[in-house]
Amino acid sequence: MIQNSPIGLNFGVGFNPMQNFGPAAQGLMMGLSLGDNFRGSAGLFDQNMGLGGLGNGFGNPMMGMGGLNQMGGTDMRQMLFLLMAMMAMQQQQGMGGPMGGGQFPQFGQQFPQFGNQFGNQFGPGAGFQQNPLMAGLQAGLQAGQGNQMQMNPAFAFGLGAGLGQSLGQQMAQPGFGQNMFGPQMGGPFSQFGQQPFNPQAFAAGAAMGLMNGMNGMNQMGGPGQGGGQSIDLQQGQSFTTPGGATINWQGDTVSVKEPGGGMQQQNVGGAGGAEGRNFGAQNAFAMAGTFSGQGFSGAFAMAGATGAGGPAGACGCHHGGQEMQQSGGPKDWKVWGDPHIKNPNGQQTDFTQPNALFTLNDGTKVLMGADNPNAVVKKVRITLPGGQVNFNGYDPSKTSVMQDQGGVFKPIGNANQFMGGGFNQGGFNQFGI
Amino acid sequence: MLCLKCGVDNPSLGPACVQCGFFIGYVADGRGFLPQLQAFQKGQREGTIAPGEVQEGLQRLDQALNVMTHNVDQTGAGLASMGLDETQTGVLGGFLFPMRDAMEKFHEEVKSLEADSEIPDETLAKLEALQLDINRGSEGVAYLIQTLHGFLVEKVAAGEQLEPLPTQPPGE
Repeated sequence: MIQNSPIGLNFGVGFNPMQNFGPAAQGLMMGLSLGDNFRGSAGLFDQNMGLGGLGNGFGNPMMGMGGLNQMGGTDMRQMLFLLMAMMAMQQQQGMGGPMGGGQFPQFGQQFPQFGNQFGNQFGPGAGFQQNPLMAGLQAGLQAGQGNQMQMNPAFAFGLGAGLGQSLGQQMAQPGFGQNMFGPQMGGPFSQFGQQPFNPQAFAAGAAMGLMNGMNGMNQMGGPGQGGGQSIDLQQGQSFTTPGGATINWQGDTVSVKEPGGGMQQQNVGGAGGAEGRNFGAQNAFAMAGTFSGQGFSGAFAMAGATGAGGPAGACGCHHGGQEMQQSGGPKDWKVWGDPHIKNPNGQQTDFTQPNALFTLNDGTKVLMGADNPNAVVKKVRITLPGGQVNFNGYDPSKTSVMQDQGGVFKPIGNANQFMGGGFNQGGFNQFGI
Repeated sequence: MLCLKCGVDNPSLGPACVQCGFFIGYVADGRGFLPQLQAFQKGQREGTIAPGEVQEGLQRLDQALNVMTHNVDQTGAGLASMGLDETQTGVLGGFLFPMRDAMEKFHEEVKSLEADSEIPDETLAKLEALQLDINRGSEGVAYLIQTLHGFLVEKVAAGEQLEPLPTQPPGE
């Protein structure tokens, strides 16, 4: 059970859980830990239930958590800071688990409602604000007057400096709320990661937004509002995807602006990074969830970012200062009227079926539906990259799967033909969409 | 996601490397580097990827896992330096250790891979299982973060004042 890290020892910071964390660690690892006995449960993230919904038995690792509550708030913040920075790297490398994905469907299902609710309540321009008093990000949540979700600024704070102005600006963008609290936690961190990074930043940075007084889950929408990793965009709303594309539905027009490979990110230098970009130097992650406690309940969202590579940071990556790129160039296109498509190259085409599924540069899928091929768009569903498209309410056999072919979206089949998926097993991937 | 084929640490969520187009999988799937190993395998089988490229990829993966493990170590050391009591450190260890343990075992398994031969089914199954263990560990840490956050909210709600954050990076 006891393992020293050879890497850690080389750097003089060996992580021996027995030494570093004391004998109590043994008990946890032997019997009560997350180890072999912990599989998560349907109630894992339902914090409206006691102790994460796992009950009060020894099988619940949360049983030991009360001790952590004894520490001071500042220390606790520092602890969060460290843990989030660590998770940022793993999330970025896909080693953090399918967060918000299929493993805990009920968790993912909360978020579309949460996201929509947040977006509805706060709308464009609301969200996090920079506080110039601190060099790093100081996020303050400001609620509009009369909003259902009243946020007390005292509960809103930011941590760290790693993301600096870029995150603050990002957070202030319309639609950020929806994205931040979106269904898939993998989404937002990518957005942060694509922003210019402050190389002078603190070793790690994190931003948190806390919301209080939301009355828990019930305020976030009832059952049946969306599901999994899809977000139903409402008319009049705008949404920013993890890759920075904006989808704006106004009247009978759905406009999409995709940034393509235009965004830049700076290299973060560091020992070992002379030739290569520091592995993990620009990672970030975000998570969101709900909680309840004595006398209050609420929800939170967090975003974390690491900002330092350090001596072990070099990964042999072949160049630094690279551009953030996506799978295509910048695009502006829209769907409007009954419905017409103004393609990225300017050419106009029409829907041939009631529904059409578009894939953006960053992998986000946009499903648009009309009553018939000659009616206006009545519904728009957004699926974040990597998510499974939820066709509930849309007939896949009447959904054209569109592919950008030289600036013109062309149907390459109906959605029902592409269902299946998986690595090397056909599905959407085989068509590069 | 680091592309093992060309070395670019992709900021995107996949599935293709923005630099070389190699299949890196979907970050959100939480399968880590396994899709890339499978893509290497497929490429080798079809003759589209040379063993040398696979070798390079495995080296990159080795380095990446080194860094990730070191990152966990640094976090553990940082937490241990906070002057926590035995119970607190025990709880944290209980959350962090399973993840680190799985990561290290995964790394050991990766080291056994050979560039010029296919990954045996047995090894692939082991890697899949270890990846799942990493995910479980990460899930625990994510929940730990969530719970700590809940505690912190309670403290702030109760009126506890947090010390201001440093305005300069340490040492400057």
